Formats: sequence, structure tokens, C-alpha cells
Amino acid sequence: MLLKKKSILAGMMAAAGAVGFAAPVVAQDEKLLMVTSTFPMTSPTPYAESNAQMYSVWCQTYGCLGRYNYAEKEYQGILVDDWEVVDPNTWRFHLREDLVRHDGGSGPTTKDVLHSYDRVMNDPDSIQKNIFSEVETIRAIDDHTFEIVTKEPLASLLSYIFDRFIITSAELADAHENPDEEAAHGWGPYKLKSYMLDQEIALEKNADFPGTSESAPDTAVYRQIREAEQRVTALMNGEVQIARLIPPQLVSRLEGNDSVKLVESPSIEQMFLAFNPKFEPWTDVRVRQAAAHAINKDLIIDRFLMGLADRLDGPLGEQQICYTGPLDYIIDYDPEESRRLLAEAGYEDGGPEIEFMTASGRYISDRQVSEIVTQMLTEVGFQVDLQVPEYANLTAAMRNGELPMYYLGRGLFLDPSEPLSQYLETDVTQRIGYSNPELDALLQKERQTLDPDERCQVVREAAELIAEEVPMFFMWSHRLVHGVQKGIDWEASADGEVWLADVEM
Amino acid sequence: MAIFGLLRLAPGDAADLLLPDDATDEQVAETREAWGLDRPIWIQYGQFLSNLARFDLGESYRYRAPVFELIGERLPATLELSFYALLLAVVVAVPLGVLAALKKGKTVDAVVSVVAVSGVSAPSFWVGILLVLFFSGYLNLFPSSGQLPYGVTVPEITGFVTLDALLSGSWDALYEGFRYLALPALTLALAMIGIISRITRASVIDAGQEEHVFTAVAKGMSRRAIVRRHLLPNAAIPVVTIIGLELGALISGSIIVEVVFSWPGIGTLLFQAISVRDMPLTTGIVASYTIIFITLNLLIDIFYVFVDPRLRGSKG
Repeated sequence: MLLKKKSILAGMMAAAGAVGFAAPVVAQDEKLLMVTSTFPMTSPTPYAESNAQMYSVWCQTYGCLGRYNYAEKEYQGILVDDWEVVDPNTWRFHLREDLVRHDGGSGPTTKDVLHSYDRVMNDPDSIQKNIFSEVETIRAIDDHTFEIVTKEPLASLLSYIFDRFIITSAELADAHENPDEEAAHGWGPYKLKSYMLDQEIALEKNADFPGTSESAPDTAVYRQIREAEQRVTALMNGEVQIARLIPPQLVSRLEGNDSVKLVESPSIEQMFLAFNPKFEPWTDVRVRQAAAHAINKDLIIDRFLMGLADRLDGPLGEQQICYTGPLDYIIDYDPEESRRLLAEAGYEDGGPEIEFMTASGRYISDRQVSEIVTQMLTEVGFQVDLQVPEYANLTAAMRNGELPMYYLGRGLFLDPSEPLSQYLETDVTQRIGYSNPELDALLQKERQTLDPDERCQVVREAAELIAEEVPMFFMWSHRLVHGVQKGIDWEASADGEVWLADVEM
Repeated sequence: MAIFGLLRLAPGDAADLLLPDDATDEQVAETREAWGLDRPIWIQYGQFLSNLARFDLGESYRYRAPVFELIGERLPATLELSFYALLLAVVVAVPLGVLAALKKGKTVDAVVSVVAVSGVSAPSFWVGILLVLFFSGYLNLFPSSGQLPYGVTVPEITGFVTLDALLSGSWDALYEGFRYLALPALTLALAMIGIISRITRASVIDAGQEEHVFTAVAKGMSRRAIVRRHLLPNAAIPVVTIIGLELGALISGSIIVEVVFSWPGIGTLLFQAISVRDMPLTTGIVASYTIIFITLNLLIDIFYVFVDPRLRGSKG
């Protein structure tokens, strides 16, 4: 019977091949690269979305100030070739003068920078104002030099704006009623070829961009495929050449495939547990530490996440700016210590009752991880009420400071300055409700310390304090796994984005 | 009103969900104000009704485009998918139902019953993924998602890809259009095949109990002629009714299938809208579904007149 089944399948496959169905859909063009996308593609306006993928697409087409090179651990210019700190509140940037606009127009000038700043701040479609939340103004010095003036000294300014401030042409905006659709020309290494809402974005190589590599794809298409199963299948049957964000449970499907390789990278998204000290029992640091001691991160990473996560012991992982080695204060898995701390906090006869909220399907295996955490907390005596609200409700309650304990992730955690301020500095937001004058002082000091080494020392002090006080218990960063067809060389970076100039075909 | 109320009563709103993680509280508040989300719910509802009276469904928060325009762009893809799914379901289910009725109590009947129950019971997202794994991943017969491959375009005449490809003589696009339609249409059709085949079977069996059928048998009329002239016409009304009801359910039920197959229809659009509480778009799409459903029911009622000669003769 088995033999018969196989024969039928073999026959069907042969028939499929005979009528030409089995041929890959793409690959007509030798240098055509199809890349999967999981983000929405909702508008051709470069200021209307705020996610890593669209920043990367617009940065490669219109152009941005530059990008962070994770391998070299430094910022590198794209539209600017140099920058310096003039005074604690003023940064000066020099635009490149060797660029030509995609339609043959002149290179970017400060007029374009000011126009773009205006669009970010005032275009009704813009949702990117946050990148200039700490900026007082931008002013032109000459045609190719401009200054950004911050409200307060801000050592981490580049992390806010460098690859997110998209520069569009003032001249084209003046000449067209709808420049984003009628004249989407920029200065980046790729040109926008087509944009289909919620389907695909096609880019083609800008041969005039200095240093363009011959081996980079001539055309690249970001195709939206939200379902992980479909991404894997599309890669295996040749519909796409790079399938991004393969969840751990599907990695094994690709491992045995001869035409596909797996490319892994760390990430800058940090997963954490938040203990909100505005709610009992999290007012007591011993209870927060007890909860942290109860969680066996290594076990979860090894057994459940299949090793595809990098353990964190504080807000500084190896990918973060200012990482200077492991912290001195590390909370290890120690259930005995956990029970001791709970007893000391007055819970010797039974642990505190806690409400624990988690997302489901937003992050890798988030609900399942939370269930494991619940079990671990229960083991030491906590009485856990795990709740899985819809994400919209969860995030609204989190922003309003209504969640006692939750498991979430924070993306764009390249420079710890902004995320730590957002979650832990007094009254900046209500997300955790933690307040500690000592930490506030350290966070303020790091923003004002423009010397990188000195600043990183302050950041480390802040990280040590957070690790000991545990208003946030940092769990891990998921490793990003991508499936790539053999014959294509691409080293994924921690932002997970495909910088086409880095791809060799 | 129900959708409007439910969406607005739930905590959280589009500003929370659409703005980035690092948006400041001020930015969230500004956005809420710009979209009118900071106003009391009855004022928002009044505004919604006022706009609706002028056939203005507002502008989508997520897409920054008029809701009417977005629905108009996506509706053809959903209708096209639903049409082919229905066609496939009818072509398969009606003969299966007739066959099961004629072979009542025999192995064929049992097999059809199992197929029918399985089709109805299996959730479409699961069936869709299985079909992708087998036909796309294993056999590499059909693409896994999307509507057309990159580089294949069709001149837009009606908005229906296969029809436009046919009208413009774009044979490559027509071929690719059908390849991309195959799996989502089959996924949707499988659930309907079960229901339609069961109704067809029951209707044919009922029709077979009529005296004129026994008379025809006694007169020595051929089996094929009896089925064609006596059983099928009499069994048609319940079958047409269920097809009409299923078509409405099919269009609204395509939401998950569209998401699974990245099909650019209003199902995907609705999914995107709900996930970020895009209220103008959500209410607009739900209203569209309602209109489609009512229209289809009206068309089915009209269609009865052609199917049932008794209705043609009655003039009140």
C-alpha cells in the first residue's frame, strides 16, 4: 500500500514536471532577489510607517543619514559623510556632494533636509515625530551642512535619527501634487520601481550610487508573506530567495534541504518581564528578586527555544551600544533563594497572588514562554493568574500603567538610552511605574556625557542598578533565523533587515 | 452600530497600535486628537452617522486613504476568489450529491458522506496550510501565496485578474492567475463541497419519493432522463438556496483564507483593520459585507423564478 502511495505521488510529481508546473516562479532575471516581508505595506509615503523594514526600504531608496554597521559597531554615513558634536546641544552634519538624484536631479542639500524635517513633523500622514522628540530644531549652515539642536544634551542622538530620518526632495515636492506617488526619486543605492499596497515593493539598483557592487541584486522585491509556513514553503519551492524570520519550530524543515541554508543573527529586540512597583507585591524589591531567581532562563532557551536566543542579564547585551562585558550583579536561577526571599518578605506560608499578562502571537512563542514562567513562579510559591488579553488591550493597559506584571519585547534596543528612559525614568511614561532618583540621575548623566567611554561607564552603572532592583527582568534576545537559497551570500545583521548592497548573487 | 460600539468600547485604540514603541505620550495624545478618538463615544457615533449619510466612510487610519477607495480596490480580488471557489464547489458537490443519492446506503454514499463531513469540520486556515504544504511545498505545483508573480501584470479593465487577462489576451497572466487562485479557491471550496453535496443528496432523495418519478420509472424512462428531467429540477430550489447562503458566507468566510494566502482582497484588509482598531475601515468593510449579503439574497430570490416554474405563473 505504501508503495502504491509513493507511486501515485511520484506520478503526480512527474506529471507536474512534464507540464512545466514545477519550475520556480522567479529566476527569469539572473539578479532578481525576492525577499519575504512580514510588515504591512500601507503607504508609499515614507513618513507614514514606523517600522524597521520600511525605514530600511526608504533609507535604501530615498536615503537617510546613514546606518549602524553591526559588524564594525559604528555608524556609517549614506547621505552624510561626516558629523561632529559642536557643543553639548548641537550636532553638525555634512551632506555628501557626490550623489545624483535618481531622475538626474542634483544631490541632497540642506533644503531637502529642512523639507524632510518639516514633513516628519507636520505632514498629516507622518507617524514619525518621535524620532525628533528630543530635537529643538534643525538649521542650515550652508547648502551641504546642517545642524541639529537638541533640547537637552543627548549623547544618543544618532540612535534616534540616523537610519530613520528619511530625506526627500524639496524640489520634487514643489513640482508635484503627490510626489511620493508621482516622483518617488531619492539618492539612495536603490530606486523605487513599484509599490503595491500590502503585496510587494520592488527596487532596482542605482548604478550611479558610488561604490555600487556588481554582485548586488539588480532588482529586489519585498513580498509580503505573513504566515511562517508560507515563507518556508515559498523559499523551498523557489518563489523567494530570502525568507526572513523563521520561527524555531520550523527551522528543522529547512535544515535538511539541499538548496537552502540557514542564516542566523542576534537581534536588538529585548524580551523582558516587567514588575510594576505601583502594585502589590512588586513594591517590595525582595519579591521582585524572588520572582527573578525562580526563572530558569537557560532551561527555557535550551529546551523550548531550541537554543535560538541569547540570554540577557540586564539591559546590556552584546549587540547594545555600551556593552562592556557581563554585569557584576547577575540574578541566577536559584529557587531556594527565591523561597528565602519570599519568606523574608512575609510570604513564608504561601506566595503572593499575582496577575501576569502576556501577548500571544506577537513575539516568538510568547504565550508558551509565559506559561512556562508561570509554572516556575508557581514552583516557588507564587499564585499566578496568567492572562492573555488581546494585544490591543494589552498594549493600551501597558501604556497606561495598568499592568502589574507582563512579558513583552522592546525592539530598536540598539542604544539603551531611550528604552531605559522610556520604561524606567520617573514620569517619562507610565509603562512600569518605577521611580528611583538614583537611576534618574544616572540616566540623565549618560545623556549629557558625550565622551563615549565615560558615557558607557555611566550606562553600565545604571544597568547594574536595574539588575539589582529588577523593575524589569531581562530574559533574552531571540536569535533571528533566515532561510536563504544557496548561491546567495548574505550576512544578516541584528536589525534583521536586508541591506541589498550587502547581498551577493 | 454594533461594530461601532464594540470596537470603541474595547480598551486601546488605533493610536496605541499604529504609533511606534518609542512614541511619546504627547505624540499618542496628538494622534488621538487628530483622529477624533479623544471625543466622547456618542459624538464619534454622531460623526460616523453624519458621514455615512453622505456616503462618506471616512479615511483609514492605517492606510491614510478613503475607505471607499480601499474597498473598491480590494473587492474584485475577493469576489473573484469567491466566484471560483463557488464554481469549483458546485461543479464538484452537485454531481457528488446526486451520485450519493442514487447510490444511497452503498459505499459511494458513505465515502461522499465522509468527504462532506471532513470538509465542513476542518478549519479553513488548517486546510489551507495543509494544501500549501502538499501542493506547493511537496509537489511544487502551485505557488504558496499572492495573486500574481512579480513581473506579470494585467491591464486593469474590470479589476478581476483572470477576466482582464482574458479580455486583454494576456495568456501568461491568465495562466498565472489561475495557478495563484488554485489553492485559496480549493481551500474555500472544500468547506462548501460538504454542505452542498449533503443538501443535493437529501433533495434528490426527496424528489425521488414523488409519484411522478415512480410513474416515470414504471414507464421505462431511462435512469439518466429521470435524473435530468425529474430529479434535478425538483431538487434545485433547496440547492440554489444553500448556494446563495453559502456564497454570502463564502465572501465573509474568506477572511482567514485571504490572510493565509496573502490574497489582496477585503478579507486581508479587514484583518489589517481590526488588528490596529482602524475603525473607519472596519466599519466600512463590515457594511460592505452586509450589502453584499443582502444583494446576494435578493439575487437568489430572483433566481428562484427561473428555477421554479410555479413562481413564474403566480402574479400575486
